[in-house]
Amino acid sequence: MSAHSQILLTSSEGTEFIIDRDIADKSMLLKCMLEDIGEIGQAVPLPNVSGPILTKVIEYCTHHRDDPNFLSANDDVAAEIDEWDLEYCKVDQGTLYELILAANYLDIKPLMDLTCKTVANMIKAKSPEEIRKTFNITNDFTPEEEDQVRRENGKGSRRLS
Amino acid sequence: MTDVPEILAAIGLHLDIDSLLACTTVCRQWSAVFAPCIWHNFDITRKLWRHLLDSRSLSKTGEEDNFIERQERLTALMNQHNQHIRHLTVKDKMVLIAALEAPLTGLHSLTLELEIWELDADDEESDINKSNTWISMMLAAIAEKSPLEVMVPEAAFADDSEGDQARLDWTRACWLTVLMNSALRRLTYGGYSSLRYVNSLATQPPKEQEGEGGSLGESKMPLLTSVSESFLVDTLSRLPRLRHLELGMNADNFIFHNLETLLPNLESFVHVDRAFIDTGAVQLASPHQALRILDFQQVSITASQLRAIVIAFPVLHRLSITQARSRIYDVNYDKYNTLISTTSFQIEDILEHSSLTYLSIRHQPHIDFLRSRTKFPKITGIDRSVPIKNAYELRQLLWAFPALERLDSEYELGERVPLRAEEIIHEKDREYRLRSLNINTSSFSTCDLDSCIAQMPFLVLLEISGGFLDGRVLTELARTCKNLQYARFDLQEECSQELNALFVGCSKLKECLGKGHRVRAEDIIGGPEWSCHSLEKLDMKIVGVPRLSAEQTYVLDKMDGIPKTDVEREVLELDKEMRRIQSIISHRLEPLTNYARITISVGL
Repeated sequence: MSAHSQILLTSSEGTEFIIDRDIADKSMLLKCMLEDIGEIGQAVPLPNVSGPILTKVIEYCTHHRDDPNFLSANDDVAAEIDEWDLEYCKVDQGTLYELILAANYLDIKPLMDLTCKTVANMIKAKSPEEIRKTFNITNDFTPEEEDQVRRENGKGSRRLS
Repeated sequence: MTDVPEILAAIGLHLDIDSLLACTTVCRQWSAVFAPCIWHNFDITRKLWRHLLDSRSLSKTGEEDNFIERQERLTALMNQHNQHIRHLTVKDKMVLIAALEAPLTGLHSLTLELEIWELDADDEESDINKSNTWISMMLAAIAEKSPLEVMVPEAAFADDSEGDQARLDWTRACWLTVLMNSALRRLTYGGYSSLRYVNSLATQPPKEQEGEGGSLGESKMPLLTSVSESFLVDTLSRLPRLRHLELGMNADNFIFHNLETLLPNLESFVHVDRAFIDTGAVQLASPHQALRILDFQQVSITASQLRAIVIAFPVLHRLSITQARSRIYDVNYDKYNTLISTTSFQIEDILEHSSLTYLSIRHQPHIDFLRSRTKFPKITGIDRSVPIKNAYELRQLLWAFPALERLDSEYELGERVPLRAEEIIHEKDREYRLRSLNINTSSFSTCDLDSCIAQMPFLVLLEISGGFLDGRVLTELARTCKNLQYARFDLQEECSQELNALFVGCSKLKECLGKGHRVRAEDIIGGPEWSCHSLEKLDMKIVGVPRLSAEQTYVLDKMDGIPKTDVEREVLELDKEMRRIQSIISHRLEPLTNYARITISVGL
């Protein structure tokens, strides 16, 4: 297998993307698929990923192309996000969500971690009401239920901290 | 934003407990997803503990609940959330009992910080005694059902000298918890207790070492008994997914020297106990292809040891070397120095470690590792400081770390033999990447510093205390360091022209502070214009500015502008000259926004 071989991907709209094999290998889904079926020369359809999101995913994988630790599990949840990654995640909520879904579907753990961590940072140190506002969520608890949940959680997180 | 529970749960992995609790009250869906996440990481902090007692307490009594009740409640909670608990920190005996009773078997990460020394209690009814009894009964109960004896054989945990049954039980229980979780990825069991009771773990170095205040450096390491050894080999073989390991006592040394065989997939290893790195053994083993993080918490590393590590761990990413800061080690500096100066190893070949990006060096009493002729081209900064004593050492450091951008050097421990000129590798034409250089070592010798500076065109910050700069260094700074913005140094000898040249040459200079900065007025006037237009702070004394004496001032005041006598003419001339000099100087100082630290004085 040539190290420089290229792979053809099609996004949900049918847009074609040609990427290097080593970039495709960052995705466990593609890696396994390519290992199983070999390189058939046909386009790999990605019906769950739109063109703009795929572009963004490829940008990430290309930047981390030579990262030797890309695939080793990083259990260090507290690790800081590096500058490039931070900048990369400065997108609107919709895009971020799409990215998480794409990372999950394509099975790119570092991207999954990065995007989830970014959302987690948006949640941290916020009250439930602030969280609802940030993510545009309607409170569907009945007052009794809410009271119940609060009680179970030690009368709300604010009290705990 | 998101309505896929899987995604929410993935986000939950990155949240702290307070945030998770907040999330459970956001809406129904979030509540359902995030409530289990609270259990992912189980560390009974006091906060959470109180929370558990408060909210799910057996409110029926309302009284102070007793040990058994609390224990049962905790076990029940753990059992209930069994499938969610992935990370467990055991600081508390109750948690250990609950983890065994629940039983937790799907842990990814386990941290054991149980202090089993606090086991003695006079009171028969005390919680300690109750929990001691409990654990021993539990071990007996487990033994009836499963081959406990195979996993944690009692024989492996006997200690003939202090055979305290309770301590042995707790140690076995800890190891049992480890072994029940065969999918464990991270194990942290660094305490002294971890292997204290694993049978006759030899902690005595060979006899001849005794009475000399301990063995040093590359001397023989303590050996394990065959029972302890086979217990470790067996235990580790049952943890095939282990990626991170931190284990206390001298097991460290055994594991470290057999890492390739025992744990070929390990990615991170913390060597807690005092390390005895056997360079021969480390180099003989085939290189470990997975280890990325290596952390020595008690070692003073020598050149040959560093080389051994470099060869043995080619994909290493982070290396931390810390020497325990304890009195015991202080007395050994002389020994270290002797050891090093008598180790006449002549290393010829140059090694390069191209994956190491992070290096931390703490409390190293010597810098013998600089003699290792090993390059680390990816390292841009060294955590903490390397105590540098002279410019040769600085040069050698920059040779070893050619990409270094920031260097902080502080005086740390004891006396040692500095590196000499003949020990360094010269690379005359290379440009160092250094942007920040901060040397705060006592009696730093600046000899040859000028030729180092000549190779530092990117320097932005220079701070040197503990030694005096000379004119040659200043000249070199002015010539090479066009990016210099912050400078702090002390001067002893007169370097008026050279100092003035700094303000002419370094156009980006913002601050120039330190003691003994004296410039003669004639050098300012006679020299070219200053280029440093963004000066903000200056510690400078301008000397040699003429000033009228009291008498002369009197003469000048009395005169109506037109001099009549020679004396008056002379005074007037002097006054003119004084004003001219002062105006030129104030023109040069104009860019300064803060005049506070400049003194202008007369004479020398």
